Amino acid sequence: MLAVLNVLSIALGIAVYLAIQIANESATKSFSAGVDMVAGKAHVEIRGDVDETIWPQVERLPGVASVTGIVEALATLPGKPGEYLRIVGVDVISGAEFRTFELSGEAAAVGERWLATPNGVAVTREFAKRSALGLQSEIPVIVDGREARLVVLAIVEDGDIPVPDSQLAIMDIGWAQELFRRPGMVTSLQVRLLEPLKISEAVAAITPLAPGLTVGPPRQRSEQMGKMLAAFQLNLSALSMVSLLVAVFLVFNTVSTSVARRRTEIGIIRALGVTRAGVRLMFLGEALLYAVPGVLLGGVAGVALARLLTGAVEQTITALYALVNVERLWLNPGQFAIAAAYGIAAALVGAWGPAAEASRVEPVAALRGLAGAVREESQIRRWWIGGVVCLVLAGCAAAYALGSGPAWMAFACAFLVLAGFSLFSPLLIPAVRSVFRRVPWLPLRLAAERLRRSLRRNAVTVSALAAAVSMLVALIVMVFSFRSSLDAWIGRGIVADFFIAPVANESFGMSSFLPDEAVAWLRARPEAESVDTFSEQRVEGDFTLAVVEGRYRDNLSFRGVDGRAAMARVFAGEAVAVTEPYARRYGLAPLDLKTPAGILKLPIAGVYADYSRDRGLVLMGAATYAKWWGKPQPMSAAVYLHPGVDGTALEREFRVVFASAGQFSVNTSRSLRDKILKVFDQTFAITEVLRSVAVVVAIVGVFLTMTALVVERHRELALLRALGGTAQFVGNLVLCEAGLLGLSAALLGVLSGLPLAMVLTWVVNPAFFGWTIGFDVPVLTIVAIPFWLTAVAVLAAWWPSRVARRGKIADALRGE
Amino acid sequence: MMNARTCIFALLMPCIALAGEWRAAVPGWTYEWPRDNRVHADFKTEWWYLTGNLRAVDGRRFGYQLTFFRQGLRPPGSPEVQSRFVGDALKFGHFTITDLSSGEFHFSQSLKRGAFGEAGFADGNRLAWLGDWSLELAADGAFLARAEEGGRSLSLRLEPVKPWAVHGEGGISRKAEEDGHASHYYSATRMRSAGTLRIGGKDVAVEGESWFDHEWATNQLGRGQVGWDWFSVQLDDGSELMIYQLRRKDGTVDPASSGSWISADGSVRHLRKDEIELTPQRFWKSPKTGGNYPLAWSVKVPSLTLELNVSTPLDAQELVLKPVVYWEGLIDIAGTREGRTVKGHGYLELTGYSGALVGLSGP
Repeated sequence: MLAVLNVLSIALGIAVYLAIQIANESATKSFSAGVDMVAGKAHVEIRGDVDETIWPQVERLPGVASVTGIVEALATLPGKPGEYLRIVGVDVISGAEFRTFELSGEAAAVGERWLATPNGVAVTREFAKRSALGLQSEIPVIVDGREARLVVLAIVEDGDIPVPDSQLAIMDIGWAQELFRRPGMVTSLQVRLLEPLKISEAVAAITPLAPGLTVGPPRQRSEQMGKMLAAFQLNLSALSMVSLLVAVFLVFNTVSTSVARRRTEIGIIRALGVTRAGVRLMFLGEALLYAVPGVLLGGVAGVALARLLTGAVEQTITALYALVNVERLWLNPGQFAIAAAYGIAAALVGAWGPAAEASRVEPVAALRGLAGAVREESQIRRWWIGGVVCLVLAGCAAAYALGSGPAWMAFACAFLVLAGFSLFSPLLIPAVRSVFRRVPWLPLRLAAERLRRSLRRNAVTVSALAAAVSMLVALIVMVFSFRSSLDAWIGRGIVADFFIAPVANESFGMSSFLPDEAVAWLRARPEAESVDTFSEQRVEGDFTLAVVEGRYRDNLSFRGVDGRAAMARVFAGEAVAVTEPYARRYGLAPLDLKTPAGILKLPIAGVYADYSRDRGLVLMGAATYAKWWGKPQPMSAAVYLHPGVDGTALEREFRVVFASAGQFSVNTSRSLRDKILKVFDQTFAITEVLRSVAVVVAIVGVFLTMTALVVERHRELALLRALGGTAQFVGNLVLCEAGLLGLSAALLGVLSGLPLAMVLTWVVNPAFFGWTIGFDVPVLTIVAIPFWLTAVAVLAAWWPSRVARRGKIADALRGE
Repeated sequence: MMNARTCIFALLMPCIALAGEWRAAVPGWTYEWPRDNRVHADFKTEWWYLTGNLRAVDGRRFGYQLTFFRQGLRPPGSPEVQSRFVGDALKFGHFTITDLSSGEFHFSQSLKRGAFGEAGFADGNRLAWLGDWSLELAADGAFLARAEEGGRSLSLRLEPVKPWAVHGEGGISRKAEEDGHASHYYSATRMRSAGTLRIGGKDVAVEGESWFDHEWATNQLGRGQVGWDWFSVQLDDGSELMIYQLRRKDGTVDPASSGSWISADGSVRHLRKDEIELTPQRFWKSPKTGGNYPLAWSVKVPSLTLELNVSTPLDAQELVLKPVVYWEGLIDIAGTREGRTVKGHGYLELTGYSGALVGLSGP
């Protein structure tokens, strides 16, 4: 029985840890597979809004073997919210050497019809199957707010690499330019070199031809994405480590039980000449023995759990960073090896204490049946001293992380808070006991007394559960705080009467444009007082350039400076404003922006709060952008009505004129708020999963502990029965103990969860993402935790209590 | 004439849905030069085709083929587009060198979109170009041809020594019995050629005789045709012979097959299928593709009292390209005309013999 518990403890820890790792890796790999699909064979790529006329110039450079262009954009599918096609326009002629996929269909598909058919595409087999498409089928799509019909001419098949994304559609470059109405521009130029190793020379030669564009090897893009995701993924990894911590506690528990049960046995083998070290090794070896099947089981469960988590990770990354479509799990043997190492380490660490205790068993005392709990008091003092030390260190780590230190110190801080509070459990248990000691119901009173009696063992159980609860509380509070801050930010920032944008921008970030006609139509309406436009532009550098046209309405929350004055400078073209994540990453030094017309140097007028992305954002006036890059194409518009004017008619008419097929989303400030919050909730979908994991850990923990206790104390329970306690009484006793353990853990968890939430909110968030969040506690939710957790603990103990009720008195007492 | 060109086009257009918008080759075309040397953009397909026998000053003998193909994508009057990548035509070419002294055959294909003007066909004196390959019309009516691939290059000046020879009847060359399956087709059957061939890292001065074909059409191939055999023959009595035979799926020869006899004075006589007897004499199995090509022929035209034996000095003159595989190479001729011994040389084109061509004979 104990063996099973040990195995399960390790398996649980490994499964959660591994699942998070796999989900993370799958997201990153899916992204880079998408890059490889398009640019896998290029040595250098030029990205941005590339003027196609530099193509022949690059082709003529010495050392360049061949060049091909790519036009990439997203199209949404009307009537299928959230569904999209990632359309990649390629040149089958110049791109032959670059191609990583095959096109199949009619023999003609890649020849004349491919080049001659407007809107002809190749879709993946899976997409065709899912959408019941055949060759010649039409696919209605929405591109930059316009309706279009694509014609299926061919199927994209795996070539040198498997097709990574079923939502990929290949098109001819010319027809893609027509579809996206972007003649003269390509998204990227792919370059193959005569000597593939001379990348830096090639980049140096190309860069002067491509002002304001990103020039580098394509894998750089995957690397950048990897860097961007690193913080997010570290967050998840750190949280998943909590499950390993819980595993350590659980192993400690089961091995302790094993040691307690086998005192006599230990005494005998010690008497037979086995050394203390031998005994210790025996127990460590035993833990190791359990770790192996635990690791194997955890590996299998981890993959299964990863399947569940991947969707949440994908949503979060798409909402925060870039469109990612994870269609398969990427299993990396390295991850399994690391997880296995962690599992074995957790088993050894967990077993270390009990094994040491076993090694100290005196043969004589053990053989006489004397208990060895003399040293408990002094050990417990050490616990809370350790706790205080941990908390002090946590404070130092927080200060360091927020100051000059590395961001991961924030997690060290979180870990120390968690560990510190866990060590206080021996202080809490007597308090719980003293409360319940005077309860008139005997099973509960007895349970409270027993809780105190083997304090150290119970303290460990409580610590394990408390760690899980603490994580739960911290996540709830952090997400709640974040959501409240976001809501307040929306309330201030989203002030226009209407917001109009292509539907695609709602599904996967700013990617589609608003037609000029639509903006002009809105501006010409008498009801509209003014129409502001917004767009995101790609520029060189690891941040987004946001271009706004209109006037400032005091709707950005600037930190420490006068927003009006700052924005006046932005609109005057004297400066830019940046978001907190930008400031956190790059500081406040003036920006050097590479533009087609040369280097643009602008100071930073102020820093404002923006929760919409963790990538840095730089805000610029449209006039400045137009001067250096050319007229920006708007991606969304905010319409302000004259005071007292009802906009319903305007909204309806706009829909009739421009949005009959739903290609635009028209939002009021209220519906936009709801949508932003929905995106937020999606973003934190992953924390929902982790919360569920915390609950599962709690249930399993209580179950394992109570089962262990029942097994360990079967004699004691039998004795109670022999002394006249009914089966009912014994069962209730077990349930009460479980309830008290659950309650203690919940209390400690809440107590430690709140400071942990503060660490997440005040240290981890600013350190990793640069967001400033106000601390806000959902009181009712938190207060409810001890109640439902106690109930859950009691439920989890139902089976152990059944075992206790059915215990055979005679068998158990034979040895007494 | 039916060539590999047609075959390639057939591959690219099994469904000639757009044909209605292109101009069809119908009887009554009035040929005019140099106008008809230039592009005919309202016809769907067109090619400029040079083949020739060259001899270097050191006595080495070479053959060459240089072809420019235009495959119309969007007929005139199609909706206007903004993108330079949406082209009106696909541009591609084939270039071969047969080196008899080394027994090597070099072939290559060039395919370009022409989005940046790197390939095209024009109304001026630059007739066709594909990157470094070009065919130009000189002020004196000569052609300037240039091609380069893999360190080998050819630069020739070609002067027609005979008048333009128009093939077929009524200005069209029929390719199938059904109406509309025809092309406009003329040749310069003998062009004095001189220039430089760069091969094996050395420039070699070469001179010899070339044959130039120019053909344009919209809808050529007939139903059930699987391939064709095309002969161009330059005899030492100053006459030339062109024959094409269209093979059908059932093993028979299409009645639309025909030829032309060009006498020494340049007059052209149309040869109907029933005037020509073609009998394969020897087959060669390609080790690369398994295609079984008839490389030696007996050609008889009783109406001209002409009997010729066609053979090739090099078997391996197969162009293994994507998506089309065909054999086109230098041939030697020996025979009699009106009892007198004649010799000569020319080019032979054989398509539809390699598996890759199965099913390419149109809708």
